[in-house]
Amino acid sequence: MKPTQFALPVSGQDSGQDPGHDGSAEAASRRVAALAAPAKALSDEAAFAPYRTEGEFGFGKTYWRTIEERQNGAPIPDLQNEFPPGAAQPPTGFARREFLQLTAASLALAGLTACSEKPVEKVLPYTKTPDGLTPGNPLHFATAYPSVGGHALGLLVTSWEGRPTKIEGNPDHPSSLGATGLSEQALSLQLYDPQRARQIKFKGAGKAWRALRETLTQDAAGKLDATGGAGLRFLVEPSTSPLELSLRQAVLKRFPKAKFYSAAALDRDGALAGAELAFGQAAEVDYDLEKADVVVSLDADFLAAAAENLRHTRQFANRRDPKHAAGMNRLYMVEPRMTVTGGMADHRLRLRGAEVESVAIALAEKLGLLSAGPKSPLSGEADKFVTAVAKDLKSKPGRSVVIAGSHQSALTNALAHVINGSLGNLHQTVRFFAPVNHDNRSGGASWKALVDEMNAGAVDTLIITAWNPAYHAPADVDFVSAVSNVRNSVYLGLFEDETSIRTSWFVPKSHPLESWGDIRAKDGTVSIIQPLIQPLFNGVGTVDLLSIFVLGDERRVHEQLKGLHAQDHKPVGTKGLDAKGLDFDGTWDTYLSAGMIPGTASAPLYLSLKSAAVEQAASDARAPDTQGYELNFVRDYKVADGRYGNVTWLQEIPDPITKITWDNAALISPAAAKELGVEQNDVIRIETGGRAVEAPVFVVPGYADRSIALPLGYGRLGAEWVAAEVGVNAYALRTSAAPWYVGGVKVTKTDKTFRLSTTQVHWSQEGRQIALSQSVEEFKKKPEAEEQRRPTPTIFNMVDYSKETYRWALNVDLSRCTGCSACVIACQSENNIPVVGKEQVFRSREMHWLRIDRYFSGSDADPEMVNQPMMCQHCETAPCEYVCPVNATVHSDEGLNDMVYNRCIGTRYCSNNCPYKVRHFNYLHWNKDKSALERMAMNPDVTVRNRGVMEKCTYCVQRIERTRITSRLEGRGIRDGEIKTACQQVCPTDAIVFGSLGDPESRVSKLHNDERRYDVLHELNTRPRTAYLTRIKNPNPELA
Amino acid sequence: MATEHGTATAAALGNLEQAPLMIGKQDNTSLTQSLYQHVWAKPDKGWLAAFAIALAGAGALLLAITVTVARGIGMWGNNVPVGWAFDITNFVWWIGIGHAGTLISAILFLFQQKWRTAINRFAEAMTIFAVMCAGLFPLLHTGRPWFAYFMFPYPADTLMWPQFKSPLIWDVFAVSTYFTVSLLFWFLGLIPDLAGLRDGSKSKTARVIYGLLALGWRGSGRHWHNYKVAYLLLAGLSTPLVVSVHTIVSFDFAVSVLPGWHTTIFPPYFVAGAVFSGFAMVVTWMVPARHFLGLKHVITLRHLEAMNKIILATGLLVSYGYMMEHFIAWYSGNPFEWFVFKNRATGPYAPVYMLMLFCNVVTPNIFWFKKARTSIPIMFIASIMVNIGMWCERFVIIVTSLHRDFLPASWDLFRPTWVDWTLYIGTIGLFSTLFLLFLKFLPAVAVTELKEMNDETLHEEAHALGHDGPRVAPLAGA
Repeated sequence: MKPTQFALPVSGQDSGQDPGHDGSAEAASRRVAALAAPAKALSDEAAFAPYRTEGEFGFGKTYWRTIEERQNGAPIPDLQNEFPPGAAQPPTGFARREFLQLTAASLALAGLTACSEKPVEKVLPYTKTPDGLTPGNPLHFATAYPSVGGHALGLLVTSWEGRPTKIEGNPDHPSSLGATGLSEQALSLQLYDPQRARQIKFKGAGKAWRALRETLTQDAAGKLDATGGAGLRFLVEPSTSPLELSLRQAVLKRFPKAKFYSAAALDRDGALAGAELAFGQAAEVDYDLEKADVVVSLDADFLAAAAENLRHTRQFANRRDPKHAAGMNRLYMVEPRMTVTGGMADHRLRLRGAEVESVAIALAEKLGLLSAGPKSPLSGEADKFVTAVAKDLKSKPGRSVVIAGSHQSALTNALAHVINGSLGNLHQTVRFFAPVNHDNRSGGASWKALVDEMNAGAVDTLIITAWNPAYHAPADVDFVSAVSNVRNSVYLGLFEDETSIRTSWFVPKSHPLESWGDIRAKDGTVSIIQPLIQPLFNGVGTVDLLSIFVLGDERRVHEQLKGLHAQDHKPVGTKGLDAKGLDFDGTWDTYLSAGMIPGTASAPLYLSLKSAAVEQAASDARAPDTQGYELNFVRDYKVADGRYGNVTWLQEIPDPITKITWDNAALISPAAAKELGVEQNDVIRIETGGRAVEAPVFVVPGYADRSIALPLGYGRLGAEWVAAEVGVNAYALRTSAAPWYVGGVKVTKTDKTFRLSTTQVHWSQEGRQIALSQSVEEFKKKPEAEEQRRPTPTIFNMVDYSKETYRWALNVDLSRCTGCSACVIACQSENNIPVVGKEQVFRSREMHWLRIDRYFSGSDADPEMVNQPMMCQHCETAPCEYVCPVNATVHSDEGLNDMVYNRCIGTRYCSNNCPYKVRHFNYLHWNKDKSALERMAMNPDVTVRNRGVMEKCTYCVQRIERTRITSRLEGRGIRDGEIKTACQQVCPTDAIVFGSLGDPESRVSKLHNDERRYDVLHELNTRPRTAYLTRIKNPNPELA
Repeated sequence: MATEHGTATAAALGNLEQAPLMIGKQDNTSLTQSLYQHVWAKPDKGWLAAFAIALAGAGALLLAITVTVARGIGMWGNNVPVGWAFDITNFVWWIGIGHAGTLISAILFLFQQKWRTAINRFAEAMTIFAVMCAGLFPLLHTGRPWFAYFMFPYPADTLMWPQFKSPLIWDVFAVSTYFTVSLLFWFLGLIPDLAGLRDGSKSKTARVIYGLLALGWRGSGRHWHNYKVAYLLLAGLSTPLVVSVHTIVSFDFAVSVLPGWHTTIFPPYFVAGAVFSGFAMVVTWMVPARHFLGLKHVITLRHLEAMNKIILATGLLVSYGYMMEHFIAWYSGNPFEWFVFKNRATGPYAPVYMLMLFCNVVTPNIFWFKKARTSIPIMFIASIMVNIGMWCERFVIIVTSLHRDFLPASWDLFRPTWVDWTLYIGTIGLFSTLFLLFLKFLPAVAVTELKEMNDETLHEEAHALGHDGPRVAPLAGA
């Protein structure tokens, strides 16, 4: 997919205008409706009911329900939907009255319920068609989003008549290469979240933007100007935006005594401090993993939860292919818990988080870089591991890499640089860049400094643009009470949350898909963030807020941005045209269209190692804390630090390792569970530093014993109904001194239990050949795949598909798949797959058309993990088809197993007879209570299914048909690679390949003929079109 | 019932001689009075109490149906992988129960088993009500029951036709045919008795209603001739249905690829199981009915004993089915198949499996003993246990096969909800309601057939006395 040539989205330049807050939520609601209107196909009147208040949608007068509602705008929560969409409450419940009504009327109803509602549709024409827009054909716009670590991730957003729906990666962007992670996929749902804040508030009462602006302008001109901004403090997200930087500089120029603090829950202080220790200057490290034969990770989850993870994943996965020109790579992992990266490792060493530093020291010592080993010597197993790793590393100079986790100590990070330097890896597999982030420290130290100032009364005006600090501030830093010492505090946020109720002002933030901005990738490449839609709730951006403090700049954000980047325009000659003959406006459009400003990448830094300093630090290192249990605070794969907590897609996606949905849990090893005498779902009490939380236990193999991992980001208390009270708040135990792991934790069993909902209850393959995984050696000796693909003898008269031009097929490479689950959300977004809620997941009714089966093998302590994406296999002899009594699932000539929703009566026989269990049944009406706003996230190319029908993967048939139309218009065939299924497009590892077997040269044909190819449940003779490639591991013979 | 062995002594013969089919000396008047009595008498308190309980059950069923249709199948515990659970379990169970009626009416009629005469009406009524209960489930279990008519081959303007490869379509035809034929058979047999009610009833309303239902029956020779021919034809028509219905129901499973379902033994094994549970249900109801309706003189211990023998025989067939199923699972060497059977015995539903084995394999063996066969309390309890066992069997086949199938990643548990239980118990309520109404408004035994049998017996007795002298004791009233 290429970005459209029409670079300007419909919202044009308007989003920079003064957002006309009129102090009422009604206005915002009307705008929602009005925005939705041109997108037509608005449904029944009832859908507007939540928005219907007065004016054009209302009838007669509007009476107040409460005085609060009148004053604050937003209705009080109790009056709203009792069971918000996707919330953990059971949608199967009945209110008491409803139950009685049903009881009384059951006789009558039994005869009448056979009538289904038909939505009333209105089709409204455009009065003026926007340029380049053909109704019914989507456009794609390039933009960018801060990915893990705050660096830019280039995106392409699909927009239907001004309504953004699907998010893809920008294939030209260096950090994306066409892929995205989980959170980016979920942006579209977050954009249309009906619970987003709609109104500026001052101490709980609705106010206008003008009121806020006047207050701040007056403060600025008065007291703040007089003191040079001594009481002015900003609490910001770590940012790479050049525009924000220029504004910050302008603010500091006017108020020299003002300060910017950056506070993030997921800070990268360890990595930044490590680079400073190793090189004496700030630097960002980056890797080229495609060149690395040996990768050693010191507790770095670099495939899923570290900066530039998507590109690193692609590079790493390319080397998991035994056919790669440079051979397979080998990954050693040292970590306290099982991570996505750990699941890919050829060898894992389980150690407590604090002990990883010792491994780094031991490794450096074994490589001859340090004179002494760790203070407390490693165990025999660890020592053997480190010796083998050192030997392997030595044998691959310049073609190996050691990666340290950014939450590990500065010393561990510095030692990784030293080891890489000694192996000659610098500028081969490892590169350094000058940091593009304006905030090099955003961890505990900045929290402390800011809160100390606040408590000392030194802060008069606090502007908070960072996400929800009151929720994720370290437990030992009482940010909440410190805020009350600030005279005037302003919080800019997407939702009314834990922070908004504590600041004097609250300002709704514009969503990244609604705002202008800019952002840089790790290598410095600048991307322009362009809005896809007008701010739905009149939100404003960080830039709008900062601009108030800059004198004399009345320009809109868009103009500021364009002004700032005019410097990148290099005119040749006198007419102001560049080498391509474009003036700046033309060049600007190419920036927007490409999603990047060319030539803004910076050159790698050449740095010299300060080995002596590192050696000194290593000898100063204290022995790791091995007391009691260690508690690890970890970034959650789904909600990150908690900011995506209200996105139902992300709450419901199973965690890649544990498969838990809608919760976090205290994750422990089987040995620890035995020691504590607990089982799955028992609640334990975790105490550290005088603070305690109670969390349900979930036992996972592969964890370090006497170590507990508690994912961050849950236990929210804000106005976000979806996120509220889901899981346990790990921040309550997290201190500024020990933000990532803390030893000496006391763990006790309570007599409570808590029911967790997981999507996979059985973890073993039971000796069945389902997700094949072999080592290189085993595969050479006896490939299991060979027996799983030979034609099965049959007396059945087979349909001959060989004459078809297109024979669609899909190939999944298990060697590449990390289990990151981005494909699951991509499929959900593309195919309008509903969310069912915790209770229904517990009942095993989740609807994900594509799921990732995760199997463990080997011992409890050191398991091997294999991930298997499982979706409809499109069997040529599909068991589902012949059992359907009504012809609702039938085969197409091109080999698709089609679902005819309006023919389906829901006997579920097809699902029973599907050996892969990839069919999903609408047990309840999951899509029933969707508001007009939520429905805007739907893909109009895909039917929204009613209750009582079966659904499943279609190989993205809508994409096939769109491409077919294009190819026919152009009078040609469909090219290989022209159709990408949603799962394929998002996959950072390139594990999924779709195409036609009719073309022997297509990628999928070649992969289907690969020696690693096999069919799942081959013996059933289902002849699936989806084939898998055996996962190949590359273990070190010395450790085997 | 005269002996063929004239030389044997009377005493020795007395031991071998079967008990009489009718107790006491009966004539047409006494039979008319005793057999129509429960229709003509005012309902007593016992009947009213039982009816109130049954009606409450039927009301609960209505509520559960409403909830299901209003909200969706999600109100049940079904999920993916367990797409069918209580719904189809109940369906198969009820259909099975319906098998005794046809077997008694048709097959035993063709084999001229006289003891069937006293129980066929009763059993046929059970068939009809059981099939009505069973028929609810295929309809309710669809996600969109208002489109269930897609299953019928009707001339649709979409030019769509059902998919005849699907066993569910076969089910539609098998069950609807079975119901139609059973209903006709039952109604045909009722006509002379309805005429009797018409003639004997005191209230005008009853005479009008029974009169309409009697279709103008006058008892002429021509009526009797046509009636006998039609009855015989319907008996012939029903006979293959006894075998076909449950065979086709078993195809729902046997035709699939699922381990535990994909089994060739299913058709005979299902039919045996159906007769097994059908007879058990007849015994369960017959024991109290003959007591409360005063029918002990026509439904004797001999009848009950004969049914218990059939329960024993079919129970052994079912046990053999289990044995072969397990043996083949092991012998086939198919790891998926073998796993299913191991999982049934050791998995999360093992208690249900054990209960099934106890009720279906152990319980019927008590009927090897004549004492047990003729003991009212033992047969009552045993028959209930057989029905519990047969319900468990269907649950085991359906749920344990589904919940752990091919890919361990898709395994999950089925947990029934209150709606599941209410639907199940509700159908028992509906069945009981219909059955109690039947017992109140229609003669529970085929009165004319009994009279005919009585006449024949008396006639034979007269012959016996006339030809061979008084060496053999008179059959009735001995």
